[in-house]
This record gives sequence, structure tokens and C-alpha cells, in this order.
Amino acid sequence: MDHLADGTLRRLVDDGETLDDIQASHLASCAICRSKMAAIVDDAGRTHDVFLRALTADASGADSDDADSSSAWRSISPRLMRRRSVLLSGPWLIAATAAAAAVCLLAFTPVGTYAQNFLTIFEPEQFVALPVSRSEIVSLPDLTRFGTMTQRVAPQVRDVSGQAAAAALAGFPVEVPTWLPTGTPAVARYAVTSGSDSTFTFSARKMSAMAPHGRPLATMPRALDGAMLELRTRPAVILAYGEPVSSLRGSESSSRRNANDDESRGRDFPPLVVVQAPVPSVRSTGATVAEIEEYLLHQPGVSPALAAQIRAIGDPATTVPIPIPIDRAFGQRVRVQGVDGLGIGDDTGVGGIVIWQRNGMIYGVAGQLRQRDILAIAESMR
Amino acid sequence: MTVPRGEIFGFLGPNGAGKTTAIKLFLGLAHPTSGQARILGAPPSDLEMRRRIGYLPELFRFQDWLSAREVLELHCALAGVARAQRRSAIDDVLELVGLRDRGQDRVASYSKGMQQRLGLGVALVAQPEVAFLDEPTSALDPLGRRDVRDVLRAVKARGATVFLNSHLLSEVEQVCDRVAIVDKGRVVGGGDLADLLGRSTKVKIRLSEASPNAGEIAARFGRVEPGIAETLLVDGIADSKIPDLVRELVAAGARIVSVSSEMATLEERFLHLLVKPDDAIPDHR
Amino acid sequence: MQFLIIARLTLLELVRRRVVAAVGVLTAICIGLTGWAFFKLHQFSLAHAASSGGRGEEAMANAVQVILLAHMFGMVLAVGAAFLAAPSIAGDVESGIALAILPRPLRRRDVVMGRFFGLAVALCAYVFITGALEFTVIHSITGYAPPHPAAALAYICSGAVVLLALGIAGSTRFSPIAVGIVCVALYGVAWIAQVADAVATAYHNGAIRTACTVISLIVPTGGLWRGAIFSLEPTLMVAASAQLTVDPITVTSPPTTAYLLWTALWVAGMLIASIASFERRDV
Repeated sequence: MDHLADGTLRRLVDDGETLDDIQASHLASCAICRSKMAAIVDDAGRTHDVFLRALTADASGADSDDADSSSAWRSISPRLMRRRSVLLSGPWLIAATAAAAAVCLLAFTPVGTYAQNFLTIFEPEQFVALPVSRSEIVSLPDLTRFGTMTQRVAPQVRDVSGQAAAAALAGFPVEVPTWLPTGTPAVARYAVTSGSDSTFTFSARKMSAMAPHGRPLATMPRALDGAMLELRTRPAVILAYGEPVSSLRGSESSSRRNANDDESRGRDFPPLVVVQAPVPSVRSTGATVAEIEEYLLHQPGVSPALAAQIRAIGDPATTVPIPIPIDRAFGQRVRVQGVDGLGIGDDTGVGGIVIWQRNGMIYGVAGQLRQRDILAIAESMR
Repeated sequence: MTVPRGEIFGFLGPNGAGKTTAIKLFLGLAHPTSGQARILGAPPSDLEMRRRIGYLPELFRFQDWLSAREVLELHCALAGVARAQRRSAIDDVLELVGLRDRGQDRVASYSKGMQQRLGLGVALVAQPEVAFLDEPTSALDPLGRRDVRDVLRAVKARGATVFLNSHLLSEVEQVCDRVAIVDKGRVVGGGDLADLLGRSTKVKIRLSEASPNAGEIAARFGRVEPGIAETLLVDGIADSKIPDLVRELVAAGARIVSVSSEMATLEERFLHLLVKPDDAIPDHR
Repeated sequence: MQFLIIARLTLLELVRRRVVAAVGVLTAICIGLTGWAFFKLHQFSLAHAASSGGRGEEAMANAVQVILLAHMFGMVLAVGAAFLAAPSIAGDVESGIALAILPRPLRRRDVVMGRFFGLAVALCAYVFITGALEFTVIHSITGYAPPHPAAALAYICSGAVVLLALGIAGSTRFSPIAVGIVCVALYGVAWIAQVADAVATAYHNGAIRTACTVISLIVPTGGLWRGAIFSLEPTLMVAASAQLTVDPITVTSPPTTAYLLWTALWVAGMLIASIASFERRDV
């Protein structure tokens, strides 16, 4: 028989779809299909890794793919990994990543693990888009080679009944949009994620142990060996308009998708999501933020141009570069509630994201709307 | 080779002799490997000179999606004829080549002969000082040929020079003042047409019956060519002497049926110049 | 200004030989059909998106449709440009039209530039009229407008002009059919080089990338094609694509300014070459 289609293999990996007998026996006997399959599993695993760690600062993620610790994000990640379909179903990805970005500051990027290190922040004051080309991304060394990530407290997601309940659980006053574009459902569902607590420990020993695999890295300075980065995120409140937040969860929506693909496609992710959380705190012990940044920027695979760009952004303790993995910055600086924020999107209606920071809180609005509507929603938050 | 102004110049030669190529070299359509040409005192690349010439190519086509008027208009524009004068210039030339009633029609609807007339019109529309006409009578019926001859004479009367390429010797003989005969890319002969044909004439006298002393009488006027007894062919006799010959023959009792004076034809000259003993064996290379 | 006479003649030829009429009718049919398709899609989307309130899905579908249309349009235009350019000079020489025209006080460069200019004007007018019409129809039916429609049309035009210059250069020496085939083939090669480049980037294959870069410099239609598609892609679509290691279909960056400059130089160089070639040719 013919080789299995890429799509079939992907569905097998991503959605756990089953093969019929003929396909299964072909896969078992065909080296070409098996290697294709292996490549897909590998890619999916990497994407999974990157997102999980980016989104949750996964405690054990450095060494394993153990995803139990982050059930909420795990439920999203299979969808993120449906590679081809992701292309055609951007809004879910976008809204998911936007929400994640607001919570963790890191999400919108396959170099999330890197971004963490640029985000050695105590009080971030502004967001700056950092354009990174695709070839730069793929040439970056894997952060896990420098040390170990451990997660002490993993985030949990809970649905709550309303604004007051969310505020009580999260521990800060919850703001809601006072203006919505016509056609957007006026009632929002609330969910609160708990905080997380993770550390990354630089380890020269691990680095040399990993050395035979992959490209050589710059030698770790003494001061860095054993240095720790502590990332602590606090509870975040998620408002979803249009569909229950619980439909974010994989099992329900995927069963519905199988039952009636066309019906559920448009509802996989709410058309509008608003996220707010206190800024995460990152502390470094043993080395200064500047030292860590300098070291990482000297790695092979980090182009001099990229390094210069990052250095030019300014003090890593106060400025958050958000790597936008495209050859040119699409993020544009936007003005929200009197402060500078970062907007990504356009007025096509496919979707947009606005992120800004005010009074120690990070806010994010993402939706399948025109950018100007998203900005207006953001502006109306009270 | 020089072509004087104000004359109709015939450029003759067998097919493939290089007549068309020569014109293309004059007009800058082709590039010479050596040598040079000057037209109206200027090299072929001179745009100002090219304003003052007209050209009828041998194998050509006009934009058949234009009307004859539009083709002429285009050529007026290209030749730099002032906008105000174009209309009358086009009217005149359509009249001249006999297409006045068909000027609005698309060239696509034209017969080959009409296209040839239009080609002549295009060559002449900008009132050229020199008109290069490559086989202007090809594709024309006898009536059309006569028309072309009239056109050529009209052009000459205007003071323009006509450079006429043709392999039809009778055409050339009828209109040209001067000719050059070309073969294998070289001019092998030429000059004033009258000189070329020569003043010496031949007379043919037919008698009703053979007359024994007619030959002797004729021999006093010129060389008698051998032939049938009833016909005398006398070569090298001056025109003025023919009446004397006739009178003497009559006086000697010969009964004359007809007297015809025969000029040497261009064809004879042409053949004489081109067919050399070497050429008896065709070159198959 | 002799070249303007030739340019005008070229435009007149397109009208008289019913190229304009034929293309106009076909284009009208295409716009009608795509408008109908967008209408059906919109109705479907209205019916199914009512409960969620989300219209992003429809916008995305529209964006994808518009991009696919642009692919088709770009291809048709490239082939059109090639087949307009291919006989532009060779055809006149073969038929004998050139013989009548060239002895006039007219430089060979006037003929080349006139042909180029006339055809470029025709192609660009066609692109902008059709593009504006198509975008207007789509917008009035669905409310969707691509991010940078004018830029996309400008890139499509540039691609057509590049092929035009190439076709005219070929036309000064070779037969129309040969030139037409070569142009279309090179367009295809340039396109596939862009796709191969995206794949090679993902797999770090330097040799293939270099080859693709060289091709995109030799035949700059590929890069312009990227620009056209990029201008039509919603920002978030690009961002989503950039998450993927391999995505040869979505374009994540527009051509650089340097590349656009190179393209302009390339077209100029091609025209100079055309003139030089035609000036040396015996007709």
C-alpha cells in the first residue's frame, strides 16, 4: 500500500487517533513511515516541552516530559501541537498563548525557555517586542543543557462563580471590561489559576555531562555555577467570553470535536479572553541578572545581531523583551490606560492581543476581534 | 557605388544576390561586417536622415489590427510629420496608391495586392527624399504594375530619389534611369540605362520571298546575321541609316513585309554579365 | 519620446486583438464566482458562529481564501506576463512588422522601452483594477479586508514586471514560444525555491539555502511572491506559523529593502541587456 499520509501520522500522535489494521501493519513494517512518525513525535515532543516549560516553569520539565504538574496547560498543548491545523485555527492558539503570556510573561515563544532568562525581573516596567527570525530560533541551544528546572508548586485552575469570588480567591481586585463590541457575548466565565513556584539552577556539571550531545557551548563562568533563578507566579484571573472556560480542557472539547467537528471548531476557544495577574517575581541568587544575560548571549547560536538587539533593549531588571518569532516585529507599541503596552495583531478580525502592566499587575486581552476593538476593550477595563 | 539624387535607380540581380541585404545595410536593419554606406550624406544610424527616407520591405506585414489610415498615421508619427499635416499627407498617399476608398478598413481584410499598395503608401507617406522600394511590384497584377510605374514617375517628378530593387527586368527597363547589377554580393555591372543598352541597334527585315542580292545590299549597312532566307537580320546599323537600307532593297526589287528595329534588351545584358563560362558548372556546395 | 508611440501602439494592440475583452470577461466571471463563494462561506459562518459570538474563525477562513486567490492570481499573471512579453519583439521581427518600423527615426531602445512600458502599464492597470474590485467585493460581502491590500497588489505587479523584463530580453533573440516556456519555467523554479528555502531553514541545510538564495537573486519573482502573500497574511497567522518548525506555505517575512533594490536593479539590467541584444540583432 501507499505510505501513510503525514496528516494521518500527525493525528495519530496528536489526537491519539487509531489506525485501521492495514495502516497499522504497514506502519509496523515500513521504515519510511516509522521514521516520519518518529520525526513527528520528536517535533511534537519539543513543542510540548517548550510550551509546557514556557507556560508553567515546569518543575520537572528540565529532565522529563512529566506534565502532570500543569494540568491546565497540558490540556491546551495538544491543540497547540496539531501543527497543520494550528495554522488554520489560529485564534485558539493565539488566545491560549495570549493568556499564557499574560500569566507567565513568556508564552508567546518557542524560545520561552530563553525568555525566562531575559525576564530576570523584579518589577518589569515595560514590554518590548524582540523580533527573532525562525532560523535564529532553531539555532538556539537548549536551555536544559545549562542546568535543571524544578517546580515546587504547580499551578492549578479552578472555575469560580463570578467577579467577587475570583477576587476573593486570587487576592486582588478583579477588573472587567466596561465596553464590548457588538456581537460579543456579554457574560463572562471566571477561572482562577493558582500561583507556581519554580527554580532553575545553573550547573556546570550538567553542562559538561551534556557536552557530548549537541554543539559546544561557551564555558560557564564560575560565578554562575550553582546560581539559582527563582520564578514565582501568583494567582491569575481569567475571564472568558462566549464559552465556558472549562471548554479549554482537552477531553471535553476533543470528544465534541470528534462528535461534530464542524459544530465545535469555532468554539474551541472563547472569542475573547481577559487575563490579569500580579507580575511574577524572579530572584536570582549567586549571580547578577546582567551576568546571566551576558553569559547566555555569548552562546553559539545566538547571533551577534540578536545579542546586540537584546542588549539594546536596556536593563533586564526592568524591561521585558518579548521575543516575537518572526523576522520582523509585528508587535507594536500601544497606549493603554495611560501606559505603554504591547499589541500584536491587526484589524483583519483574525485576532489580536494587547498586554500591558500597571500598578504591579499584568493585564492581557486576547480575542478573535479587530485589534482596535481589543484596544478599546483594554481601555475600558475598570 | 553611388546613386545620384532625383533618379530612379534600379538595383538588379538574381534571387539571393544580396539586393535585400544591401538595403537592410543602408537602413541600419543589418550590420555590415565591413564597409560603410551613406545616405543623404549621413550614416545609416543617423535619425535625422531617417526622417527623410521611406522604405518598402520585400517581405513585410503591417499591424493587421490597424486600419490603413492608422498604419499611415503611425508612420507619420514615427517619421515626425507634423500633426496638422498628417491628414492631408495620408489622403494624398491613399489617393496615389489607389486605396482612397479602403482607408478605414482593417489591414487584415486586405488582399496581398492591396497590402503591397499600402506598403508603397507607407514608404511614401512622409514625403521621403529617398524611397527604398524592395520588389514593389511583387504580388501585383499587370494593372497594378502599371500603377506602380506611374507612382514611381510621380515620385521622381517631385524630385525624390527612388532606389528600386527588382528582379523583374522589364519593370526596371521601363522606369529606371540608371541601374546596378549585383551578383553574389558584388556589383558586376551598371551605369546609365541608355549607355548600358547601347546606341547600336539591330534591324529585322522580313521579305515576302527570298531575294538573291538583298544580303549583299544589307552587308553594306551592317553585319548580316545568318538566318532564314526571307528574314534579314542586320546588326550594328545606325538608326538613321535604316530608311536608306529599305530604299535600296526596294530599288533592288525586294518585296518588304515588315521592318522592325530591335534594341538590345536588358535581359541580354543581364545574362551577358551574369552567365560566365565558370558558371556553366553549377556550384553545389 | 518615440517609445511612447510604441507603448501606445502596444496598448492599442491589446485592445484591438481582444486580449482586453477576453481577460475582462474571464476576470468578471472569476470575481463573480469568488464573490458567491465568499457569500456562502459568510452565511455558513453567521449561522454557526452565532452561539459563540466569535468571528475570528471566519476572518481566518477569509484570510486563507484571499491568500489562495492571490496565489492563483499571481500565477495567472506571471504566465500572462510571460506570454505577453515573449512575442513582443520576436513576433514583430518574425512577421516583418519590425522591418517597416525600424527604418523610421526610431532607436532600437525606443522599441524595447515602448514594448516594456506599454505592457507594464497594461499589467499593472489590470492588477490594480481587478485586485481593487475583488477586495471590494469580498469586503462588502464579508466585511473582511486583508492587512495590506495595496502592498500585496504592488508586489504582484512587481513580479509581473520582472517576468515582463525577462520575457522581453529573451524576445530580442529567441522565438516567442521558447521565451514563453522559459519564463514560466523560471517562475516555477523561483517559487519552489522559496518553499525549499523554508524547509531547508528548518533543517539547517546551508547548501540548499544558498542555492535558494542564489535562485531568488537570479529570478527575483520568488521574493516578490513572498511579499505579496506576506502582505495578505493577518499578523497572528504569521505569528502562529512561526511557532512551527516547518511551514513552507505561510510567509513569515517580507522581502528586505535590499532585495527590493536588487529587484529594481535587476529589471533595469534586464532592460539594458534587452536593448544591447536588440541593437546588435539583424532583422
